[in-house]
Amino acid sequence: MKIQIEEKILSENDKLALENRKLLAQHKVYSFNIISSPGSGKTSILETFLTELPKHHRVFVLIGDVQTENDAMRIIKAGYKARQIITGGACHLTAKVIGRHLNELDLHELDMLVIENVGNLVCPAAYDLGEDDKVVVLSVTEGEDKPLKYPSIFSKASLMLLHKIDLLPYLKFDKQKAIECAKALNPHLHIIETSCFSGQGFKEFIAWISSRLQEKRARVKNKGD
Amino acid sequence: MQPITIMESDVDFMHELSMAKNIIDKAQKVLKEHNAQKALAIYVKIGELSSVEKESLEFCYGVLIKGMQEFKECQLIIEQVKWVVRCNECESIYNPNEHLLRCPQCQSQDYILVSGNELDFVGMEVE
Repeated sequence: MKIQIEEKILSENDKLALENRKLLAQHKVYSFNIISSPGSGKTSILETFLTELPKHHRVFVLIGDVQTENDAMRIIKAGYKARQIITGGACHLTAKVIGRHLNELDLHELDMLVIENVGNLVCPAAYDLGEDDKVVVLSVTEGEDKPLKYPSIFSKASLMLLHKIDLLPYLKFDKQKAIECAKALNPHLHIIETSCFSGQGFKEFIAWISSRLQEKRARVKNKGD
Repeated sequence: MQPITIMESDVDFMHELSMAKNIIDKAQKVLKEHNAQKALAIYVKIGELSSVEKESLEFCYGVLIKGMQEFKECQLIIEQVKWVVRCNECESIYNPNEHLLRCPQCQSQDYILVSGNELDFVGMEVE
């Protein structure tokens, strides 16, 4: 007997992601999921981002890593609330794992949930977590053709941080080509050049995130009324 | 303050292995729903943009069904779907990978996706 199903392979994850999205909307919490290769600078970006973010924003950070709680410690040392999720080998976070943490957090006391995914450009692209935006980091110490090698994440992200930009004079990285590749995959992708060393780009990054947060609040309010 | 650390014991491992696990979970559900004893084939579609390797998926599937009587004779049939887009300027249909992301007719980079994003469980054959 033949049976037609026609469902997404990850439909169970997608269902749980939708539940997470609804829960976050209920509490007017804006969320972004930061994704990159290992060593691109995700945790440093978050340290600088949180330090420069206006203090009235109430933020919680969930950090996925295969091993160690070093990254959560860094965020906590900087004075912010964070929780480490050790995946013990898994190379991505899933909606189920995030959902479990959402149920344990005081969401009504938060404005923003930041999820730092496991360093990997493949699997995190396939697993929706219920976030509002995916932020992809490409550092200039990597190849400029990375968007072409990992098209899925670059086509799904809303924002790309072209990071470690202060190192550009010392590298052969073709910045224009990297931007062209990313834009060709995703014409709506917003790109900001950032450096934790010089602080370049962080004002713009924070302004972009703040405006997405305001947009979400307006959207949720209109729906709620 | 110490971080609260949670070890996740039931998360999926690696890309193709987690895909294979999701496929088998779904297939088991279908068998149950249709009161079927065994699966003969599972049909899936994998798009070029999904970063799933056909051989790796077959390997992981083979490992996971070991010892599962209901999947003993079951073939995983994978249809690979090319990345195809339609140019918004001249309506040409092309694979961006083969044309350096530009429309081969008019050089435009403005397109909409036709296929390539698939990660679909299409159906099954059961007995």
